[in-house]
Amino acid sequence: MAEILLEGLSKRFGTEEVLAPLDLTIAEGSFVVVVGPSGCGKTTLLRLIAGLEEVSSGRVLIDGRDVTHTAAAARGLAMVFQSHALYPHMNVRENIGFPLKMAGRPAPEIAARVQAVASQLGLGDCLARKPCQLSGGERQRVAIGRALVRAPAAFLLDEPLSSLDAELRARMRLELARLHRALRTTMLLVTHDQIEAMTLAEQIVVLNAGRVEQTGAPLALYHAPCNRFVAGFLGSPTMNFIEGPEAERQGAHALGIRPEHLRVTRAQGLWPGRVDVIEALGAESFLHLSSGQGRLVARLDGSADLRPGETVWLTPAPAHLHRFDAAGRALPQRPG
Amino acid sequence: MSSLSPLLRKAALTLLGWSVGLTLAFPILWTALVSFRSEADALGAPAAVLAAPFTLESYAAITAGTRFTAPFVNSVLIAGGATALALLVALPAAWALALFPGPRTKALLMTILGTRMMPAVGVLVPVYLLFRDLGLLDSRAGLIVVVMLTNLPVAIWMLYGHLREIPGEIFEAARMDGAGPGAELRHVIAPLAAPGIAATALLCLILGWNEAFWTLNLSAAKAAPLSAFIAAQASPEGLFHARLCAAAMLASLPVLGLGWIGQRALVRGLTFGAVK
Ligand SMILES: Nc1ncnc2c1ncn2[C@@H]1O[C@H](COP(=O)(O)OP(=O)(O)OP(=O)(O)O)[C@@H](O)[C@H]1O
Ligand SMILES: [Mg+2]
Repeated sequence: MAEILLEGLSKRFGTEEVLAPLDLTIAEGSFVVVVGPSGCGKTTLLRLIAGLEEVSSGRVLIDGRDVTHTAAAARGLAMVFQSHALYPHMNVRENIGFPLKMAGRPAPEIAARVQAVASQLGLGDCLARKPCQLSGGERQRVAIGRALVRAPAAFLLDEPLSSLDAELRARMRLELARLHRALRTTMLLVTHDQIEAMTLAEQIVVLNAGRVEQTGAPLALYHAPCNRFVAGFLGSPTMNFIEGPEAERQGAHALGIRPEHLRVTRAQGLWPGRVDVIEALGAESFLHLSSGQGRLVARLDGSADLRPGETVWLTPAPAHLHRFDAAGRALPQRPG
Repeated sequence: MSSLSPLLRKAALTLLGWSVGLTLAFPILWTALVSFRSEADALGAPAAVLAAPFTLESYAAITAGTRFTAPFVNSVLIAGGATALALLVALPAAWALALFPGPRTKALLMTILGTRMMPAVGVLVPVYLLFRDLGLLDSRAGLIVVVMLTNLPVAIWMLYGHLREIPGEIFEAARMDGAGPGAELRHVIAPLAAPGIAATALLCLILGWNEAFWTLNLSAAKAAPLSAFIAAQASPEGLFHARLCAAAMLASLPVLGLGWIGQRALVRGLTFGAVK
């Protein structure tokens, strides 16, 4: 269990700045998720903290100790690699047990721990197999198991669920949340999946092109994004953005309204629109519409008794209307 | 071709394959045949050579006393020593090039290979003079160094290729799992690099064994390996055709054996499945 403190941490590859100087506190025992699009520097950030990459500037502190120039092996962190990075010449049992072996634990203890972790991850049947005999999802779970098998100061997880199918991913997500509650070990997970971020994080860090856009609790970010990027990145389907006269009428460059905050009625409303496509998922439906404000998406509970081509009225909930200036920054909510 | 039945087509292809193979192997087969003929029979017309009686007298002649064992031991020492030395130099070099590439890595690799492209005869005179002044002419140590140097580019390139195939994140994972440099080397690097090192060693051994240009030019009697021994059957007392063939056969056997072991033992693809 440890607090990780990043002070002005930055990374350049040659002349290209991949991470702008950033300050971040990962509180002891917290679950922080760094989320951002592909190539925004998530893996680089983890590698800097892990000690696998030289920092260009700034410091990394673990529990107040400056580890900026400490070797990776001596930082006491466990990492799940995006590429898994399993040991190809060892079977699953040896792979998961390797960190304990390096820590000099006695063989019976290693065997017991490996067994426990493997069954927790549903790997009980493949302990004797080599990585090349595993499916992608199994490999990913071995990589997770190798990190979980010991008690590190903190876990660094680089997209640990990306190779799993939807069902397994949901289960492993729950498993990770449960594990964190049980261990209370500091966890730093990076992902490009905003659902993972929303469900797992106590604190989300939104990263874009090497810059931190916003940091905060998931729902705080969801309801009060500080700019258009965060507003559009969190939430699925993504927020509707409206530019033009309608936005200017409200004193903004752009308006933002989430699909669930767009009321759809047959009778009178604010904007007329035509239904293009209906995605009915059972518990909810997504309406894709064309309107004078451009293409919009609305979310309805249950299934809609509407047909494609039908004309409807759309009304945004005023309390949930976001306004952005020309630079994309959020403007304060309008009173009333 | 398409009008032929599949069976006929297969038969034709088989025939073609065998004839190409036999044509290519013919000189070796003929050498083997001549080595089992008497010196007088060996000089006859091909049909006569074919029909001449089987004899081991050439083998007996060339292995009498230490005539064969001395160059054989020299070959073992020179090829083995050059291989060990080449690996000792090439492994750290390839390691650094593969795992810590810099902006000039590519250029350096091309330069290394370029030295191998250079015709050896171009540097024969300076090397000969150097050897003479250093007292290395006709010494095993000198030949070990020069054979090692000719093989070094190949060894570096081959090891580099093998090491490049191992994803670097595996080593990083070991570091994250708490392995220090020693443990990383023992538990991760060595087992993963072993097949590549073995393959490189095998190739260096074969190349060193077969090396003839430098060994012929820089050795006389004391340090002469098998390549010089074969050549010696053609001079100076005249041409001993059957003995020449017998010497060539004996000298080739270890290499044939190594090649045979090599193709079976060196399976690749060990790293498959390690990373996405
Ligand atoms: N060794 C390197 N040399 C040069 N550029 C690099 C290097 N490693 C990463 N980059 C660049 O840094 C940027 C960030 O890379 P990084 O791997 O951190 O992205 P990421 O957010 O993890 O992306 P993904 O979600 O696709 O894994 C990318 O533009 C990448 O091209
Ligand atoms: Mg990444």
